[in-house]
Amino acid sequence: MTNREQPAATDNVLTIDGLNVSYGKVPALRDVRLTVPRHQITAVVGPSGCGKSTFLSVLNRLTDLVPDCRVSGRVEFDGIDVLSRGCDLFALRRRVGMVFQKPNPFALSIRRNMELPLREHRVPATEIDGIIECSLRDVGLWDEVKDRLDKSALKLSGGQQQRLCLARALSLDPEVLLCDEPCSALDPLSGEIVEDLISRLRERITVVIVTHNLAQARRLTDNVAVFWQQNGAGTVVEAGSVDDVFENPQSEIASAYVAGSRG
Amino acid sequence: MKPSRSNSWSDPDRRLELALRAAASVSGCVVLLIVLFVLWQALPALRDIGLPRFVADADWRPTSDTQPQFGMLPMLAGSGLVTLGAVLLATPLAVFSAVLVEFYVPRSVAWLLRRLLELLNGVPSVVFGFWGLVVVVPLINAWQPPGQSLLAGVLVLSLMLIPTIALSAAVALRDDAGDLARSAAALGLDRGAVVWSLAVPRASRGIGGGVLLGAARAVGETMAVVIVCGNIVQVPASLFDPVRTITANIAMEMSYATAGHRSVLFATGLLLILVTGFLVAASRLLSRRGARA
Repeated sequence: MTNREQPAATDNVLTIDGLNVSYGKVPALRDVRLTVPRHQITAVVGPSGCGKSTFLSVLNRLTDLVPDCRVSGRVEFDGIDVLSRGCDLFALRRRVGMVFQKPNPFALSIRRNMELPLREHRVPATEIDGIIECSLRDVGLWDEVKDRLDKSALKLSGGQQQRLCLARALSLDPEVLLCDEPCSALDPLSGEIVEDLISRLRERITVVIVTHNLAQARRLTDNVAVFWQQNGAGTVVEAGSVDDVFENPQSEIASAYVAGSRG
Repeated sequence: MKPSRSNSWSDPDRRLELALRAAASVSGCVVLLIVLFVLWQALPALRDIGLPRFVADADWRPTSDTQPQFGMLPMLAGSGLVTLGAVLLATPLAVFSAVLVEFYVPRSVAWLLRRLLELLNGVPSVVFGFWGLVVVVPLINAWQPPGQSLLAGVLVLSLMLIPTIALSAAVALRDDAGDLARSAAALGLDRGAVVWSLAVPRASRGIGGGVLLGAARAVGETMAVVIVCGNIVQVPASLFDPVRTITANIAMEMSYATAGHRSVLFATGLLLILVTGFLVAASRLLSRRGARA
């Protein structure tokens, strides 16, 4: 395994070490090590079923929702031990936001979709309207929806719904955004818009994005982690900067896998 | 026409289809015939006495030779109030039970609670009535005699409605609950917000459908209310007054009713069919709209 260390000078916002995850008796991830540099975009790539989405949902403890899911190892976010019992999930999930593959607005109005998380996180009522407008502008949705904020969010197109979900996640001002194939359920044009939005986020926040699309990983991201199934469980077989992983892969598996992207 | 239908009797699938159609037609026809029969039996009353007198007559004296009176107002009030009270009492309890089952207890406990609700749903109403008579009625009697009362009917009936409403509500709440929980948890929303701000509002139509279904059951319930309501023909002045419902009235008088009296009872039966039919249809409509939204 050639899991390369980031240069010491890089400021890592997430450090994952010796992470194991299993569903019941079925292992999903084994001994995952990875560091995620701050204010960069890190792609998680690999074939289906190698635990990419599971990995992502460990980082904001969504794995807690799966009754027989067991997680061990160490995940450190900004000095916080994410996997510890005492970890404040409310605060963690505000600081580590998430966007899913399938757009998942609540069956409420556009305004309520934006308002509900802000209220729950005790954002002062006087600031909420401003934050909603600002977040919707960030994703280029404001001009499209400002006249129908009180209409159901489910009436929006798929691409608009996904941008709404992105805005909803960004409204909480997270430090890390986890994206689980956010463009793959959208039509190509909408997917491109969402991809552009994510690419512009790196100035403000750290992004970890799961993708099947190696071309997307290559043009969008700064770092790549290649996941692969080994001995029945997923693990990281190669990680590093985009250029290193794509141009000069160290492991045979990664080399063969990324070769697909060279055409 | 499809080619397969040309030799219909040699095609086993076609034969099965015909058999199924026949079976379905039989059950459909029986329902239709029952409604027509009730309508036919009710016609003399509707024609000779007329709907206005059902509410205008001051008394219920259907067997009087000299001056029969057909004032149904006490029974209408009885059925209406017992139903309303039971629905109002059962709805919050049922919704809380459904929320508890779907969101607050471990899966094994939820499984057990669902089976219990199903069991409660299957208990014969005469058992509820009997239990009401020996437990609820004496308690009310000790407080405000005579015990057999509107309140006793409301209490016993609400217990019978809880499983009906709770099971419908649970189905509505369960719909996509996993996705909802993930979406909400990723935003840091806690269980309270998921349940009360998201899941319950989203399931409101399904819950409403369950409430209407419960109301239909309450309107039609007979045995339990005969046993615990006291069956005195009067518009109740308080919760502690005995009442007689339309169903109880039919059950108690049909055995000796003749001619006009009998026809009036059928007319009230027709009313029950219409009301429950309307409630069930409205329940369907509401639940289906909810599923689409």
